[in-house]
Amino acid sequence: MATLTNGKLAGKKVTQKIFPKLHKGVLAAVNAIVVHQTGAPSAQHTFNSYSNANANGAHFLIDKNGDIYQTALITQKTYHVGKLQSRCLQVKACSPEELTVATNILYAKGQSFAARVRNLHKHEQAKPYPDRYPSNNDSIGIEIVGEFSKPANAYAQVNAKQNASLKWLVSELESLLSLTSDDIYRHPEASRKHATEASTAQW
Amino acid sequence: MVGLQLRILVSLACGLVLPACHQGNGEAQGMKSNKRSFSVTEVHARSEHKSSFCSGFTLTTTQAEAFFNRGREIDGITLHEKFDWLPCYVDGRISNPELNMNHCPFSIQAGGTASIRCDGGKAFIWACDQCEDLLAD
Repeated sequence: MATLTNGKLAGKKVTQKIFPKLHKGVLAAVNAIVVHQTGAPSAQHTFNSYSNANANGAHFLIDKNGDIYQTALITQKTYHVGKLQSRCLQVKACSPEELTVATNILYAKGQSFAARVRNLHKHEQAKPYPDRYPSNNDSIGIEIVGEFSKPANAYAQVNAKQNASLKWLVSELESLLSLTSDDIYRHPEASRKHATEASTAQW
Repeated sequence: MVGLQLRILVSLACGLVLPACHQGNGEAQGMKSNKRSFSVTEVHARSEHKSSFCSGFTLTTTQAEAFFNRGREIDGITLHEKFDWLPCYVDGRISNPELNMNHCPFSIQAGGTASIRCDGGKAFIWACDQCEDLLAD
């Protein structure tokens, strides 16, 4: 059983490798976990990017051999989610009023796709969780090392060791943070990312 | 003398302030390692767009060339961390002799990235974060 102290997860399976440049302010509450893939072929590629001045990343990283690294404190926000999708649009559960508002934003004529996506994200952020998908302000992220194949135009398969570690990590975090299985999301579910990212992750 | 001073002034302005100058002289700011002689030979919106969200997404060959000329090659980490993926696509074929691209299929998605896949397995992820004016309906 792992323990959580001052934002650090202590347990036999977790190696601390905190990158302060990922920290973007206090994370007051954790409502959810978002599962990612890095897009890079090795953990070191991602660690290198985490040392950059404007580094973005998640709280944990699972290497190809299943090793788990904590890369940011759970008490700190990191920028790992991106622009939120409309949850009620995605699950077809909008009220008539919300359906009108959301579709007017998303299908606004004369605006770029980026502007429409930004505006819908702002609209979603004003909602409480779980009416919306989790954002940087109320979730932690788990990265799984996995390359994005240019020829295949898809993320690599998550391997068995990675999935075993993911299952353990999610279970521990659910218990420590009072989350349920409904609070765990693949990255493309919550925001606008390639559909194959984390599609083979299992927990 | 006046001509020389004018050229120096324009050169400084292009180097420090005006992105349009960079496009004109074939380089985008901070992306000097990439070649800029793209030629798009065909372009068409993908027909199987599932939602009306994408229905207005089209590009001309000139706009597609502008996308590639303003953009840069990126890696998978940058794709994941910096760019949205919107499932609206314009497909086509592109050439760039300096990058050994010869009539390679490409696909631009409305979030600002493109995949280029050439014969022999050579592939690129291209991205443009100054193309919002192009990626609209």
